[in-house]
Amino acid sequence: MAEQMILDGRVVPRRWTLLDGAPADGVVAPGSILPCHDWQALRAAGADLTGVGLSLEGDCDIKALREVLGEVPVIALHIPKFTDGRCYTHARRIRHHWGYEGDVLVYGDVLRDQLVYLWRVGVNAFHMRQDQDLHASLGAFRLYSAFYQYGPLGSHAPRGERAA
Amino acid sequence: MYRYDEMDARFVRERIEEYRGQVARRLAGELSEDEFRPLRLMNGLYLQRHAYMLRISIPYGLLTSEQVRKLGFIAERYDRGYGHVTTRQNLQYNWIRLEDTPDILSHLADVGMHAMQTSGNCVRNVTADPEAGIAADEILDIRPWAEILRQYKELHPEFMFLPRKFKIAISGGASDRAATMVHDIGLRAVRNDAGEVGFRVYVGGGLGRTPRVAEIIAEHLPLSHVVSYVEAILRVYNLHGRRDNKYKARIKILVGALGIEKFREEVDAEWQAIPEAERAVDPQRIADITAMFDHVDFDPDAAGYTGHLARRAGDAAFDRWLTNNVRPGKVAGYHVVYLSLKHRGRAPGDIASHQLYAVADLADRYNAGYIVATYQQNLLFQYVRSQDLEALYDALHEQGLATPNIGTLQDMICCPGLDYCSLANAGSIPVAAAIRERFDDLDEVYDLGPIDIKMSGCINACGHHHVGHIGILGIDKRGVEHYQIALGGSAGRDDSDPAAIAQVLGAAVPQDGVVDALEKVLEVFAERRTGRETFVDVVRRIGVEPFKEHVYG
Ligand code: SF4
Repeated sequence: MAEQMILDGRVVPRRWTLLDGAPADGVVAPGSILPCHDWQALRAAGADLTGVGLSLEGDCDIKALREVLGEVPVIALHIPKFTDGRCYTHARRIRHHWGYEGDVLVYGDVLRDQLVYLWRVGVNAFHMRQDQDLHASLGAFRLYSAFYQYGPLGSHAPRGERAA
Repeated sequence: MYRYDEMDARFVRERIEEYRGQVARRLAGELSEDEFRPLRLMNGLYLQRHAYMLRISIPYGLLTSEQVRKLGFIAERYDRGYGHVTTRQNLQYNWIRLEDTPDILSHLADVGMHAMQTSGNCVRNVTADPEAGIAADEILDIRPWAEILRQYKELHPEFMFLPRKFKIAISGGASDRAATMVHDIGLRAVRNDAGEVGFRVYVGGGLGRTPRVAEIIAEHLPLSHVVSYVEAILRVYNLHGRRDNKYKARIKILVGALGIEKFREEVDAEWQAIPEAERAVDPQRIADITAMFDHVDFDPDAAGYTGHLARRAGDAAFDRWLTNNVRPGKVAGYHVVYLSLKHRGRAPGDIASHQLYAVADLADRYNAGYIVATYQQNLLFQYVRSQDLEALYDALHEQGLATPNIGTLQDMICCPGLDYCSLANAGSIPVAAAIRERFDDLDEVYDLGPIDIKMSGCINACGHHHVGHIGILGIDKRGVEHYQIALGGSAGRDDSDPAAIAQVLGAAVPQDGVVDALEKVLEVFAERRTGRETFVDVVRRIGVEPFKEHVYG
């Protein structure tokens, strides 16, 4: 069975492929995701990057990328460790402050317990850690009927609300 | 007080269901202890020396009688009959079984309580001036703001996995009763030259291994910007706080590394990036929440009443209690009454279930149904009429809650130490007990004046020893408990008494030497003091050297 992901609250076959670096011939298939610096290097070299996304780490200074993000169909955020919260801020900035409309994907140490928070900062695509049961994980989206943030304070933003 | 609406209540229930699922997965082996740890911590559950400890959140220290009754019930049914009030105005149970925790949380939810974010690397319970709303020196009733921040931080999706824990304190009086300068963020209401009230924002204070007094990041923030500004600070911290070394992960280290100027620039830039429509809290919302805190019907007859004063002459204990444990409120004829949890033979901050029940009943009768937990590990009633003082005193006395020692040497702050805490090097409770035994004579204690002793069982400084007038720290010296003594610290009250880190006196002393050393310190104080000069003022004036010479000479 093809590897699966959670996308917009459903389990579907993975639509993105994460690459460790640029292929030797410099030709990148649509649907691939390149590490940020490889993506930038290829772009600077004039390569065709249609349909290719980029991935970011927690320590990336993403403010420099604001101008180019509109060009990519997906931004992947790496969570190296369950307890590392930096990408939550990246997601919030990309989705909410900058109004990015493509997919925001997380990968790495992603357990079901993070889903509800990640969803709410604007992540809509999840490559879960290998051992996670994806269908059971969907339960995370139904846990809460409302939240405090992102609506007027105290007004309880409704469940479906996302930072976008 | 802020009453949970239907949505608040459902939110707590839903959180418990999530947690129940996590406990089930842990018990079934689906979650490793490593994975479960951050999850249980976010729900206030620690693994301690003998059992689990569950820390219950008391937002800004404010409780209703119904909630206190429930806390008594839980102590009786699931613990060993008592709870422990902490320096962060929470309540801890030290003898909890993991399996019972979902049910305990469910009982708490019945009265709108929970244990969310009382530990873990997230924004912790917001602590506040316990006299808020009634303090005679009040600039701003900060309770509505504390509630707005409470709502803001509750499961904030962006800030549940910070580099380290994050503590916010807020104070509205001319005098700071919330130790704002030793918190990650401290908010103090101030009035500017134009007479407008705003928040002075402190950042980067903290104790632990690297004690640091906070610096001012904003001198006069408009009140309504407080949430967005806190958000900007959290965002800078979340991205740039160190994650490679947990001892260097608190925001104070980041502020220290960048310098306050650079840190402020970063925060201001983040604040500018917040969409304009989200920078100010909706005035209607502020008004609605404020209205909930502002409803006590004050009795106009209280002001003229003096009947209780007659008893002072003939009843020394009552007289002492009035002097030490009772303060005037800002409404004439109303008083703030401190309930001392520093009773001889009991660990500082401990309260038994029968006392919790009694306190709840007394609060209904004499305090509009409110109870406040304080930073000093005591409880407080803030709406007591003059006419009720005598009856309240008698009832508290019967419960062992009227020891007239607030603000004195007996009013020690003390962490759980070796008796419970698995991180402890030394027993802080037995040392507190020994000091209490030696300084049991109230006349002697009163003569010494205000002395703030704070004690921690290890370098994590839960007992805030760095900011004690006398700080005592338990350390391990080749397997033997020793105690380091420091002098001259302060949690900071106002500009004339700013926060300060205590200076270590010298080599640590063994457990049986602590009381002797303390006696010597106080001998120097007695000798060098002029008139009614306070202990900390003497230390500030003459430095620690004379004390050192006498203790170690
Ligand atoms: S100061 Fe140390 S011993 Fe005391 S409660 Fe904190 S961690 Fe435990």
